[in-house]
Amino acid sequence: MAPGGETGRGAGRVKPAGKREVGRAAAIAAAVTLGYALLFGRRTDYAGHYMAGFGATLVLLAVPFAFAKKPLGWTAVAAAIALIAFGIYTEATWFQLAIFDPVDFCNQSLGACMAGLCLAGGMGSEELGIELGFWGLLLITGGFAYAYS
Amino acid sequence: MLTPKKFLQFLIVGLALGNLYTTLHRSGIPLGLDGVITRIEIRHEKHPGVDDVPLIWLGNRAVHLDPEAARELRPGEKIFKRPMESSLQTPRGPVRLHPSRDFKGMAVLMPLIVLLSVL
Repeated sequence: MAPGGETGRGAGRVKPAGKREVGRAAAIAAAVTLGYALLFGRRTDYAGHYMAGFGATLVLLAVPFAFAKKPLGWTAVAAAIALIAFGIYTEATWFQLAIFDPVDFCNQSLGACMAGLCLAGGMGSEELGIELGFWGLLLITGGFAYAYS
Repeated sequence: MLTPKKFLQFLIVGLALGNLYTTLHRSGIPLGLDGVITRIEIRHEKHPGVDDVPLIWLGNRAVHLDPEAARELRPGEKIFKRPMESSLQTPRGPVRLHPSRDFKGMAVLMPLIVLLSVL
């Protein structure tokens, strides 16, 4: 049994705790990124910022998600807020090419909040924590590559 | 009682509204404008020609407009409009301002994101 226990009723439907949250995070990250790509076409930076914010929050929450003894609550909020604050800093310094762009900031922060929301209320296992970290890094890398493509 | 999920949902609503407000603001429609254009500055972002930032300088005031709106203006012109009007008066006649493609995209995607966050 995974450290976080198991959910589901009946032997045939038992799933490791946290699997639902990871699946939800993957589905929401993909669906919203697709929405940005379809609606904004050449403005790839919008989707890129969303993906980077989402991915960075997954990476930040991977360890607490793996080792938490109870469902993540305000930890998920703290991670999202930390990423929002980091986003303000990076948008105002490293990535400020023309101006501080509030749209880039909002998209990145939306990614952070959506990731936090997906994981709030869940707890996983070491294996799921590693999986979450992997998906997070993939989203950050993909977000950068897409924004600058 | 404020739960972590509710807190994040409030933040998501605020950020979605921020996207809508900013993209509408750049159309120029919500703005009151009155002055002589001293300079039109085009700053480049990641993709020159795609995500350029046109800044219209009215003295010391810089106004970030959509490229479509900025293209209609010339340095030295006196411009005037009241807030929430979609017509901008210039010496060459009125210029119609329109919500950008970005605003229309946000008007579709932001409600969907908010909806996803509460499901």
